[in-house]
Amino acid sequence: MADFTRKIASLETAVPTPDDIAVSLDGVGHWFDGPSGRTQTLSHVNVQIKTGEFFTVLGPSGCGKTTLLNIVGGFIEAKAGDVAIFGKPVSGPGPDRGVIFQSYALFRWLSVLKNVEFALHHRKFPKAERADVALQYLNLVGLQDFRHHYPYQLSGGMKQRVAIARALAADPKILLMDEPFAALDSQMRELLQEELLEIWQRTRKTVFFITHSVDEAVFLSTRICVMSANPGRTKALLTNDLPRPRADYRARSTAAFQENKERILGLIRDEVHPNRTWGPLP
Amino acid sequence: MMRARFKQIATALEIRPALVGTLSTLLLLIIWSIWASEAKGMHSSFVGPLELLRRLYLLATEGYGGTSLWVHIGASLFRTGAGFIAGAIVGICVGMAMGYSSIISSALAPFFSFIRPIPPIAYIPLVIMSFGIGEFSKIVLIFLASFLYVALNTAAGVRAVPQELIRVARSLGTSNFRLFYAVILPEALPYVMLGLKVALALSWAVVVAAELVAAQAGLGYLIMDAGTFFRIPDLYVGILLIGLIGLMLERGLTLFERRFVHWSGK
Repeated sequence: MADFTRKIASLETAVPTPDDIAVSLDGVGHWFDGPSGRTQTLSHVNVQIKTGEFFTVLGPSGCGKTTLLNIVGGFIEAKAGDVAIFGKPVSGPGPDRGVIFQSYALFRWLSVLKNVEFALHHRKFPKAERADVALQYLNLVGLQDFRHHYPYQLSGGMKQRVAIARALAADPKILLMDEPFAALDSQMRELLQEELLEIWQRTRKTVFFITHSVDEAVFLSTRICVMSANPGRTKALLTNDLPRPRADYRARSTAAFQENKERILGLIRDEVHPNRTWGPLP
Repeated sequence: MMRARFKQIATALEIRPALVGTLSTLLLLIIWSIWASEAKGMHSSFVGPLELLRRLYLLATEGYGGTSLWVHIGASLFRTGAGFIAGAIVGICVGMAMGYSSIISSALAPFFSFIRPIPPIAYIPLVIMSFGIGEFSKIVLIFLASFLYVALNTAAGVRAVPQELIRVARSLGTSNFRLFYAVILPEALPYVMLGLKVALALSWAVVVAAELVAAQAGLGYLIMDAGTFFRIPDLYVGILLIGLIGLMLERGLTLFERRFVHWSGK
């Protein structure tokens, strides 16, 4: 009931969101009730993501960052607060938000090309054109020669490229990426980060990116939301002023990169053990 | 020197399972032939492999009990096929519903738990009483035998579909109906195949049992009749055929699986 009246109140006082706000999170909270009481996973998250931003949520495991992505994706409903995509409240998943998971989530019974074609279904392309269009998206991630392969014949990096091509083929306005490169080896990870930046610059999608890697956040983002755990809340919102273009391995060894990284690491470090004291062990 | 040589042979055999299997089969046939020729006349119920082949040829050309052998084989295969296909179709549908909805699954769980330990042959007297001794009662029996395993495996397969796969599909603008047949069904297919394999093996066993009790044709009828009239070699041929056809059915499904579920487990 309280929730209901609050919603009514927010309707009355709703300020129209400007068109260039892709994702708007207003006082978002989430919790689950277990046998030992209520566990708050997210509390008062306020974030406005502008169209075309590369927005990264950075935080330790258990800070609720995946929950936040699931709320934006419409897979779960926020228990408090308002979530809007281009001014419209989120009521479930939709093709305006493409998702990319760490586990790739490819359709393993379909070839690489058919995986991408799957995403074209809702765009009502005539059947004859689908293969052609899908191939263009595969071209974007450099996998056109692997179109007849099946996912099990690909390496982890290639699988994630297919997942990216598939998500882009649905022509979403926003890409939601949940630690997409966390399962890859470090060389492949850095390579895919560079490729993602290039794709982002070409397609100008809004990206909502989840990671626990400071390095990744600094390399990719325009803005970084540093989260703290228990309950998950926004600790700091930082603008990442690292110069562009960055899709170059040398970008990681610049002083600006190290500086931004250290600033964030400092924020996180005093989060993990704020005032730990060392005493004799029993 | 000798040990090194043995080790070499052992390694060579380890990587050739098909060769080892053929050799062991040949060895068994040789021992069986020698034993049969030694024991000739002592046991009328002991038949050697060559005699078995001769009887198989006779049965194939002259038939059994005035009926062609192919009619017997056909009768058993028809009953198995009809009951198995019906059981598979209904089993997949019920399993899908159970996997989809935890309420349906919970509602059916007590019945499935109760029915599972009952061997299908226990229903033979009941189906004969209800549906007579004709074809229909046997098909009903095979249906009952195969339905359960297909349904339970399909339900497990649907439940095992990763949540992220469904979420990705939903974010690609997939409708409910399309999600069902283009994502959940194929993803659950390896489980369904496992259920089909178990169900087919069981169906073949149950059809023979049903024919032992009440039938005028079929391989089960053939071995029952041969046993009753002490036509021992024919009895052996019947058992041999039941084994061979069961093996072929299993291989057939495996081929189907390799063709359509080649991506499973990789």
